Amino acid sequence: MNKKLKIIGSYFLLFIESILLFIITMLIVSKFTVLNNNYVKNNLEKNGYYKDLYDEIITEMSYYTNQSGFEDSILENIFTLGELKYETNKFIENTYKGKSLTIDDSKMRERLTNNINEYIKNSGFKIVDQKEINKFIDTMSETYKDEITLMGYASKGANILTKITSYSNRLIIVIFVAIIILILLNHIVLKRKESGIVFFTASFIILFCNYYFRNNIDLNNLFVYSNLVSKIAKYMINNILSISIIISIVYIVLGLILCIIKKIKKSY
Amino acid sequence: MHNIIIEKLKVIVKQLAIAFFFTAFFIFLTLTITKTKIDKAINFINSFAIIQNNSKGTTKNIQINTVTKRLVEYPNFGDIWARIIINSADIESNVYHGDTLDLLKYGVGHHAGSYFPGEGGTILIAGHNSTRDFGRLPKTQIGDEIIIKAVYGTYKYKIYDYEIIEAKALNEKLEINDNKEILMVYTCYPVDTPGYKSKRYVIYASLVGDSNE
Repeated sequence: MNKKLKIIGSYFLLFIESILLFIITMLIVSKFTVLNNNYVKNNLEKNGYYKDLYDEIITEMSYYTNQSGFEDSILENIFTLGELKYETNKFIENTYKGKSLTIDDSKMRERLTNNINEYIKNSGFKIVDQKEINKFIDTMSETYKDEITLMGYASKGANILTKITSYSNRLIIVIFVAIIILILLNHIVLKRKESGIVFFTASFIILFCNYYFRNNIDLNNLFVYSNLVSKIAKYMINNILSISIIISIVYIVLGLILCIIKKIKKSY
Repeated sequence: MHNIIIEKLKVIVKQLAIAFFFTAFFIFLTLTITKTKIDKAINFINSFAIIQNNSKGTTKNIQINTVTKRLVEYPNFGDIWARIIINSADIESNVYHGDTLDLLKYGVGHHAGSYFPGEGGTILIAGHNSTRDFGRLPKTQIGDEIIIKAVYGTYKYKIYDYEIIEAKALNEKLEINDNKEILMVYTCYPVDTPGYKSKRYVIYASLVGDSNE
């Protein structure tokens, strides 16, 4: 084969390898972060999400107690942080599996009913219409469920999430195989060993994407559904951007090692 | 040894230069082909970026232009801009700009889409039925006076009607117009029994006098 043609062909393959390495890196990062329910749960724990969610549910419920002739004291101990954490985690796991889930609010309803009965007994109110009390309890129950399930939006995204996970798994395998083939082509057929370029290029592209994202997205003011969710989303985005910077540094080091190894072999 | 190091450096520099060229070429290709889509995606994400203002301070420097009958500057969402006083029902409460459930926890709220006193349109004020806010609203009678002490002037209204409506019918019933200054004040109903309230008690009052301070 013509030498010039070999060089051009080799660089073309290296360029494709670089892009594939960049894509597979992004897919693997996604697989271990946003597409991994354990990563999400760990970040919720780290950011005190469950405690904040507990407070938010109580605040949301208190909006209704005022207009319903009750005091906030009826909301005391109607559910525990442990119960809320259990239900939230169960909900996240099911969402990632693409399954729908009914939140168990039976204990919460029972305790709220007891608190209301106690309050009515002590305050001397007369119950004119039991339906109004039941509707109040239903509203509290809906608030509890809506806050955990983000008003059902998370469930709506569950199907998309499972599809993305499934596609990305397949794509990772396909790209991995393609990279191996391209490496073999370059090394065996074209007899050119400049794999350092692939790592350097993938690293530069990752760094550029990081820079572009940080400079074009108003991350500090990003608002997703609620303050609580926004806080977690911002934390996770920053975390993923930091991980991508670490990966790009690792790639540069790998590129340097490949360059040095190659030259050493040639020297001896 | 010296030559080996120089050779190694040459290889590294060469590969870095090629990688730099590849990156630039990739960015050029991507931006050329998908620039519009990338811009759209960025704009979409940034549309969720909001500067949040949960101010619950007091607005002070607000004036009304008596010729155009419009406020020169409007209070921030969540700011206190007036006090509402209904002596006949022993009601006196701060009025916040906005009537979200978050704000109603602190006092009564002025619907952000309605007019301000002196502007000649419908003024909509809501409050919880607790004794601190509008719990005694049903004790008012036709002919009673409602005073709104805004930061830019005091306005007096006289109650001319009241009604009990379904909460679902609120938007339809409480229509906002600019042809007459009407104050509509409402709360959840009934006020003296516990439970979820599906009705609203509304009183209607018309402007009888104002004094700009």
